Amino acid sequence: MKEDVVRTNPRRAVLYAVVFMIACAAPLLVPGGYFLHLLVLFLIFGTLALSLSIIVGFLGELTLGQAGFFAVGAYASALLSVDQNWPFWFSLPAAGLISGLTGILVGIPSFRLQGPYFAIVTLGFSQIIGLVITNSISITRGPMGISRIPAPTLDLPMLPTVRFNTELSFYYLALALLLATVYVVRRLLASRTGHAIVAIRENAALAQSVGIDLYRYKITAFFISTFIAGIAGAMYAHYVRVVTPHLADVYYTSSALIMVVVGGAATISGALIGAFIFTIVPEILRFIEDARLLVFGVILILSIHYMPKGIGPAIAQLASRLSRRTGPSSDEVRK
Amino acid sequence: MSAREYLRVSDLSVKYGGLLAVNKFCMSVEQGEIVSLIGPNGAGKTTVLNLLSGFAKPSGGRIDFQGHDITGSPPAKIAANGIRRTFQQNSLMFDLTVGENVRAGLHTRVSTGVFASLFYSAAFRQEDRGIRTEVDRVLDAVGLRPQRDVVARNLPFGDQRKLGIGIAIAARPSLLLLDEPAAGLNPDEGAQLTGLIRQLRSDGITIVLVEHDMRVVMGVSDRIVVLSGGEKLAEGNGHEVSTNKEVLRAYLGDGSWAMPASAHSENGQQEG
Amino acid sequence: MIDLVAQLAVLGIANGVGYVVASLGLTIIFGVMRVVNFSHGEFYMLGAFTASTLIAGLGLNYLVALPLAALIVGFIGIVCEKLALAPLHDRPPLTPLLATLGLSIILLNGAELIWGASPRPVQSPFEQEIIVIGPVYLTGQRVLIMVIGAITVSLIGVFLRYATAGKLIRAAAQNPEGAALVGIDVDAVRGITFGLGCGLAGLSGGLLGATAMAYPFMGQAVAIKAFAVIILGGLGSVPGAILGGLALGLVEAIAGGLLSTEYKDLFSYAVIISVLLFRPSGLVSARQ
Repeated sequence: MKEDVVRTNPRRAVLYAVVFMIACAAPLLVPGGYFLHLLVLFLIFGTLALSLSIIVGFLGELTLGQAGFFAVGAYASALLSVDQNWPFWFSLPAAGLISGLTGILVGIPSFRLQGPYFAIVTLGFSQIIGLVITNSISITRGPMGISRIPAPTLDLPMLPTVRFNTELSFYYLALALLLATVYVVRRLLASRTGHAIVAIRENAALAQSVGIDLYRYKITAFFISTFIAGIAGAMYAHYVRVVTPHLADVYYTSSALIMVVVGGAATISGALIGAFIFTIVPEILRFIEDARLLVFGVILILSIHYMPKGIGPAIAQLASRLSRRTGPSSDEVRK
Repeated sequence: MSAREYLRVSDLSVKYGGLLAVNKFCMSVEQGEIVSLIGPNGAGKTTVLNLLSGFAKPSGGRIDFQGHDITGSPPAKIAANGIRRTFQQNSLMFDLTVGENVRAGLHTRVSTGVFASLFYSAAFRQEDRGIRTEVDRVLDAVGLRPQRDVVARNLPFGDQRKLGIGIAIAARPSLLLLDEPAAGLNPDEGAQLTGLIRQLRSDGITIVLVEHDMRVVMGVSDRIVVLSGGEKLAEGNGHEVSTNKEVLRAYLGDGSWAMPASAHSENGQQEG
Repeated sequence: MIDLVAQLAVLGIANGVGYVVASLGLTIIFGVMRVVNFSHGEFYMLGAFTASTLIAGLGLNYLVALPLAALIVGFIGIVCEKLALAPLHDRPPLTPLLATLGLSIILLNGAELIWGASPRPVQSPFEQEIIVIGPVYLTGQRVLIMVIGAITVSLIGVFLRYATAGKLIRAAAQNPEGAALVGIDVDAVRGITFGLGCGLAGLSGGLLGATAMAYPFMGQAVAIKAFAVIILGGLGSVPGAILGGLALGLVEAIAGGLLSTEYKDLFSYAVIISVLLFRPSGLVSARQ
């Protein structure tokens, strides 16, 4: 399911509007602080999953290093706000930028490779990032991590100070950020750069023959992806208010990867569906709490086998097949 | 390089594992010409095309286009010079629609970037409309307009061929390299192809055509270059080449198939 | 100083042999299936835990538990291949790779569920013995690793060269389509190969696990080293894995001992990245 990002059909627009309204009202619909906390995690990890889908879904390369950039963004924002007293509104974009620049540094050697080699190298780089963070004790406080990271505060003249230090307040902050990210990714896909990235995935030789410089566009895509991952990391840092080197662990990459692959790697809604399933569903099925990651490993393999494009596209295909039974058939046979 | 000499290939060679696949190949193409590259199987014709389009790096020699040295340039850079190519196997984006495929071909003609898209500027919107119009123009040129929203994978073979050409001409290239476009086409489709190639020439595109199908070759070529074993065997117009003893020996000796005795028409030929 | 270097060198070779056994399976799997098995570390880990349980739970002798654990892990590997990988062999190559990632997640968390997160020992009597050769001190276990490692590598070499099954594996590695055309059951070969690779991983887990403790995440660190070894040696090359393993063990021990211990693991990553960028075919080009 390739989303026609410049012209959304009316039915889809209505669906998005409904989802938006539910999202805004969600805090009122859920019973209590813990579920709201889960929703905040969903929003933050949804942002991370979206960043990963740019590379895994739209560019079509497997990167195993996303956690490294998540950690870079988290630490960058933490250090800027704790050590340099930067307000969140500056440390957040700075974290994204630092993470994105790190992404370019990693991408330059890594994109000389493809496939499993690229995957291994990006994994290696994220482990290096973790090692450096752990051992640069004078800057990062080492394995102890950084705590007492301030919550974002909004101090506008003539208005009361807003502190984003509760699940409720942070929910709306994270929601705004996720929506902004969705907007940016959609606009990216509609742009010349986005079309080039997808062309590289679909047929790299053809893309080259029409003038698309593979290396340049891959690095551009990686910058955008790691920028967003860094922003997600910064959000996490200011929500949980503690960061440790564990943020660079493969765990976060695997989780994001599961979200993206199970939900649907090549669509925006897929990444979000995957994030939702991964963060919210285990709570509903309490009994799998301990075995959560195990269950998701099984789900990952099952979905690779039976729903290779992910749950999102599978649902969309079902929906369009149902609607075609009632309406005129088009010659669109999308897979 | 003379004023009208568009493409000049000098002593082009490439070695694969010690074997000279192309050996000191020379060719020059004038603006607006259609030059066909023919030869028995394994003669190195597609390799020459790969060298010209940057998909293979030469081990010796030089390629000049419009006065610029493009020897050894990577494919994207060669494309930026206004050179496009098609591929022997239909090289398409099979999971995207015909229209989306052609749009990819327009890459170098799109000027608005990410930020214009981000702010949904007027320039972006205008260019987006322009792109749609251009895609339709290209589809009309290759006769695929009705199939614009069909997924490429679902097209019949001949239409996939047309799409490949459509992608290549979308950016109004100066030089078009066609790699066996007639392979797998039936005689009707072959005739259509001949007409299309002629139309492209009148649109101002210079064409280098690698081809086995002699009806197409004879129907469009200004000049024919014969390649055998990586080396140029002969060069000239259709009549000269088809009566050249060396050429005949290369084909007959090879056992693949013989050149037709008559040099011209493209209609009413028996198969083969 | 010489003593220190000698000690580090011998230790490095001992570790290197361990890396060789740990990576041998990975390179063989890649050679046949063209898939980098991202769950390799987890089969290593399973070997350590299985050995530990056989020894502590069933009271088996270490030298009996070790090969038994390897067989069990190899069998688990065959089952995993049949269930998770076999149906995917004609998909684009990243798909089975993702499946091995899924396997890795399942095995790691499964192990944590079964055995708990706390480390447990792999009791080997050899770990307690100290052997002294000149200025160099080695545990008996390290000597055992070298001995068993050398034997295993030789046996595998002989197996691949002369045994029927081994020849089938090599044939399938060189040319899967051709092998299928001449009637080789490539599916069966894939299963056996994966089982063999996992069994070797399990063996090395039982061997190396005795030098430290077994814990669920132990496979992750080893996996990166195994990747480094096979990339250094050339993917699919058995002699390459031998050279690469020894080289990595040596460099790690000497540089780690003389320079810095915190960044010791960095060498594996640095090796991977440098080799892939500058000499992607590895030190010994794989026989393609």
